[in-house]
Amino acid sequence: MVHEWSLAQAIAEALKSYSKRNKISVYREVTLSIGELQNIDIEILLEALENIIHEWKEVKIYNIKYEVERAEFLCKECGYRWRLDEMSLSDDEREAIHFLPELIHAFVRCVKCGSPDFSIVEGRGIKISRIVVGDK
Amino acid sequence: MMDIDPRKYGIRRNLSSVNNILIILSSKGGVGKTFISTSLALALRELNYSSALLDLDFTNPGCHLFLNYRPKGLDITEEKGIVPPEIFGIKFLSIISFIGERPLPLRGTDITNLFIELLAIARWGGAEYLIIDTPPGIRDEILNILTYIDNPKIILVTTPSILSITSSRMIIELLRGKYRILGIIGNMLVENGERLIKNLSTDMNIKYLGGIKHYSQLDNYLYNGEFPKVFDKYIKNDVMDIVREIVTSL
Ligand SMILES: Nc1ncnc2c1ncn2[C@@H]1O[C@H](COP(=O)(O)OP(=O)(O)O)[C@@H](O)[C@H]1O
Ligand SMILES: [Mg+2]
Ligand SMILES: [Zn+2]
Repeated sequence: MVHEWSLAQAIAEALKSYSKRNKISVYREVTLSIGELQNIDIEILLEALENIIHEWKEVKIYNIKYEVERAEFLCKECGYRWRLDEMSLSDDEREAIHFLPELIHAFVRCVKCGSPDFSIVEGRGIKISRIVVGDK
Repeated sequence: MMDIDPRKYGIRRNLSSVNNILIILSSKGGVGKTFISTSLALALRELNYSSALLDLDFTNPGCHLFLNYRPKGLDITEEKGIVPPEIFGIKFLSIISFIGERPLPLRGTDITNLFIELLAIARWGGAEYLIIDTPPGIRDEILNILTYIDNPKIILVTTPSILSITSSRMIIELLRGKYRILGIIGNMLVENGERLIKNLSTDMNIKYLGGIKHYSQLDNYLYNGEFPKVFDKYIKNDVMDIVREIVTSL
């Protein structure tokens, strides 16, 4: 069992709490934004999520969609912007980043100037990016 | 766009299985937080509690040096989250298990993200005590603990130095009223240093949980990876009274 399960559980808790707060019981659509950096197994994530939601009585979700957000980095020193494919990472490094995206700071520097001071602009983790309330 | 961050819900879920979360705190560095965090976790284990230790110092992780734990490569188990390795019977989680002894330069928002993500996926398997070792300062790590962890029980650490005592006064000022401070531990006690800490505790109306003397050989033991052995031999006895004090005050 992988850690996609804990992410699915967290998403489910978030949706449950959102539904309660806003008194919503039926969603036509929920969209997840999944950061490329976290390199999630989307199949497992969605399966886990469907399994959890299936058990619910109070809330119904008809359709779960996702979009992958590409990772982008920005150097604070020289302003260079770059993507994941401009860096080479070992398997262990990729695995560590998969759990905790910020750990990329332990493995890489700005590919242009070598500064350790860069930020992850996009594509770090998972968000619930859009919901459509109502029946199908 | 709405952007709900699901991870915060994960933190609450995972920590709900832990009975007591003890935060070892001092805004000053070098007073013995890491030494005391590790010692408390070992002592609780010795008393047959299931004990867990989380090193939240991402810049200078140190608990692994006390435990003489040197993982080669990634050392965690993935099971509906991540399950920390057991070291001397303690569930031990440190950034070390992910990146080894590499420098990790992080800005504040990165620290917060890392904190949230780590606690959202770490599974403690119903530990009775989770000890959290913290970095010095009153910055992101500390504020995150106060904001995202329900009912943290705070244990302060100070030495008899005026620098540490002054720092303790300030942190007590910040915390009191809103957060639960279990008490203060005196560390590196020499001669009549304990008196100064007892005065502080009376002044600020904070329980004095007990003191630990200065061990002149501690860093030698550490250097040789002998802390766990020495702990059993000498240090355990000195720490046990404090642990009993903590357990009964909960
Ligand atoms: N009671 C003690 N006697 C002797 N040395 C100590 C004692 N407590 C801590 N030390 C040493 O002091 C240094 C700082 O301790 P540490 O636990 O890393 O402090 P902190 O985590 O508060 O920065 C370390 O070298 C540690 O071995
Ligand atoms: Mg420390
Ligand atoms: Zn640069």
